[in-house]
Amino acid sequence: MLIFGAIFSGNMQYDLAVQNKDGSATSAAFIKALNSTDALRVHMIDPNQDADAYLKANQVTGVLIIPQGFGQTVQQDLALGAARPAAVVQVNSSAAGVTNAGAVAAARVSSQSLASSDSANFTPASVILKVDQSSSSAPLVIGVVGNIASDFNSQITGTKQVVGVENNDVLGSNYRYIDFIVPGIIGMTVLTSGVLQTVGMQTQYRNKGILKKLGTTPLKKSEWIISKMLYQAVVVFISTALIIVAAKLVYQVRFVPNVTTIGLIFAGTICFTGLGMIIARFVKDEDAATAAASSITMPMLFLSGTFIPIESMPDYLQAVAKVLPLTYLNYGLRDSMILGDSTSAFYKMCIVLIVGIVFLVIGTLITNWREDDSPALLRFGGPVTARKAMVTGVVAAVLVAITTVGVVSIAQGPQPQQAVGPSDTIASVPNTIASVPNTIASVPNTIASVPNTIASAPNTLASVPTAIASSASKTPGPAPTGTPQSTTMHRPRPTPTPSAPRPTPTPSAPRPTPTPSAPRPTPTPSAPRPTPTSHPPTRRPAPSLPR
Amino acid sequence: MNDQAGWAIEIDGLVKKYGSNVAVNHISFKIPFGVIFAFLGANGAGKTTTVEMLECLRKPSAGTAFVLGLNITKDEDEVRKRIGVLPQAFNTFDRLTVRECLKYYAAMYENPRDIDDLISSVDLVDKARTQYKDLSGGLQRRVGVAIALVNDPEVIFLDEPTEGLDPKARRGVWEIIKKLRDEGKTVFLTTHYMEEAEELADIVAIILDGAIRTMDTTRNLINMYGRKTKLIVHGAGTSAFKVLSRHWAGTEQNTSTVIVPLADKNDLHKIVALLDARRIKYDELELKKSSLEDVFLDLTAANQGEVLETIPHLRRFHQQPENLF
Repeated sequence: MLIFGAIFSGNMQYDLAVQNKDGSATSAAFIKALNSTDALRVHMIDPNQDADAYLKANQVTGVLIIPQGFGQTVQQDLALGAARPAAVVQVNSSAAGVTNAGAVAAARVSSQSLASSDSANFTPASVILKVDQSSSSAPLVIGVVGNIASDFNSQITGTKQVVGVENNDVLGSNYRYIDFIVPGIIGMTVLTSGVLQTVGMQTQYRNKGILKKLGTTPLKKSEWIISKMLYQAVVVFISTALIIVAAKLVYQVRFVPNVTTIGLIFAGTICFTGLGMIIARFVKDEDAATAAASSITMPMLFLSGTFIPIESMPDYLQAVAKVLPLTYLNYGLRDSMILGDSTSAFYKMCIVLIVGIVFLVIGTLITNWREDDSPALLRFGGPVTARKAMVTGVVAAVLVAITTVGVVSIAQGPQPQQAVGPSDTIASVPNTIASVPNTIASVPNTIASVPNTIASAPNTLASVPTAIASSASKTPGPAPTGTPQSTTMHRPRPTPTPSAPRPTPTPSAPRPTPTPSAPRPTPTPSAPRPTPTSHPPTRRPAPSLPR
Repeated sequence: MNDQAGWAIEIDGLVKKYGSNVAVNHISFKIPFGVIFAFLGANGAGKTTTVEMLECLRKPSAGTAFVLGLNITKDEDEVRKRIGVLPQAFNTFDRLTVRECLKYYAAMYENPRDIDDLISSVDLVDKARTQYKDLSGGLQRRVGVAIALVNDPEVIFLDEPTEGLDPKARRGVWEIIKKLRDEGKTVFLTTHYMEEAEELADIVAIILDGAIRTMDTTRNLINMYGRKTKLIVHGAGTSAFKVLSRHWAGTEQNTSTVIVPLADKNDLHKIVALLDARRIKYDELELKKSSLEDVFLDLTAANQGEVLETIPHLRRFHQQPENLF
């Protein structure tokens, strides 16, 4: 918890080196605009320094070069009067100086240039942004700089925004990625405690002869398994309490634990203890047990929305996520702890609980501590091999998928009519359950759409050119970050030039997972960005999972 | 309970197969109450499989068995309530103390023994608060015996109870086992230590390849199947061998040692008198009696059929014995 919090709770800032070869007032104003955003840490470097070499040698995400003559070009463009274009500054790339395309690449940022009515006289003033494209932060920096340039253009050309977006946050509070991840960490704890500890303990007890001794007593197999499950529940609840305390004290995570949260944790414990008992049936030694359990838990951990929202994954992985019980546990915990949606959380809890009972019953039936008569094919002992781990993992994965799909299908029931309003949302509860990934899409916008938001959200930088706006005094200043936003939508941005690479993924890209019976959630233009005070996520009605 | 209640354990035609492998092959015997019954056999002979069937850990492939008059396949739950078991390679929860271990298992029975009384019966009073992992091997085995006694059972199964213990620890466990027999309990002991069986057992059965080879009291087995008592003359030379071999058939010489099989106790006096009369010097005389180990080795020899045929007094026993009781 402390490690994840340290990584994900803080403000996300990117180091940008700036080389001002111009030295004009205009370039100074542009640099000031760069400095005014919390997303960038601007470092000024010597104008004579080799930008490529600096980028390679230092821990910066990019180097922005303001070439000589930048200010003069801007002034010339502004002097065109009525014929001046809407944008006089463009962020451009330059191939000069690029010697190792694999390491340092001059990034082509989506140009903000607009067609000028006087194209013959108009030459936009270009700044050159060089980034290391091997860095995952490169698209973010490109987007931020591009948006700063866009707003700079608006301010100095006096362009008025005619379309605005009013953000209404139904949750009334700001959430960070750390708020998204805490339920995932709890889900991870439930999974690892249930599966890994159960498999390890059962194998260890069998090998040490403890199970054999217990088999000679009046103790029943079901009593033993339930006792293990209750033990795991105690361990998980203690771990969860520690996680919550650490999250609240250290990272000021805001959530409201409630009865549904407790029910979800208990249901998850039942589910994964049962799964652990099933896996333990097929492994003999402890090394094989660890490998077999890890082959199940590791993929499930990363495919179930624990750290990464499901909707940011490829479609085929999203389909896999929908058959994993951990998915419903994670999102149920988020519904309960973050969104306060007890109804949705309750139904996800029911899914996890039913899957868990199935696992527990199967685990009880197939566990045989009195006579080892497991089929030879599935009796794993001796050296751990990749085959043994893989076979066990495949068997368990198939069982998990079949069970979860079956339970979800039963829970989904007949599809209700399309929900329209809040009451219809309640009526469409089965769809709510079945549409977990889409339901949660509104919550983790902070994470899911970080790269997308930078590329497409003008409001992301609404507060950035505050100094410029105050001097231009043309458009209303944006509301301070950290409060529910109400902004006006500006004129839609022009589509990027074909040569400009789009940061991936984009929130406006339609998802190929249709939900025929419910409206798809509409991404808000003000989806959160990597600034510390994110816009609050917007809740949407819960669409259903595809049949 | 049925009419088998007169016997602590009764087995009739018990079979256990694993595929085509017959681990236990139609064994039958009865054990009375209040004895220590030793079940001897080489590794893989079927001892543990037999005893685990009686402990209701494995299901027989055929045949019947009754423990305290209860059918092991139909009355499993009841059998488990009334027997005590110390499995082979016993282990329990490392971080529980001796007292906690006993309380843990006592909670599974309706009328367990008093824990303090149990701890003192196995002489673990000083170690009652010690964690199991911190005990020596011998003391850990005593904890296992105590756990097997937690429900005050009438029949106790001890599977290799002194495996891996040093001589002192082994003797400590022996004393506990003898005490159990003195309290009127029936002890079913499996071991491959012949001296242990000879020291403890009232009745011995030898199993080979899943079948009972013989079963009788320890003394009877030694008398019937054992080799003659031998006199070993240490430090005697060839002259002693020549003199003794003329009068006693089967005399052997091993460098400076002469081994003479004795037909009866009078032979000892005759040999000593003869050696003195011929002024044959020697260092030492040693009497070596036949042991259960000799019986076991002879009965379980690889060329067993040949061995039995060449030994007249064993010839009539190379078929499966009938019940002795």
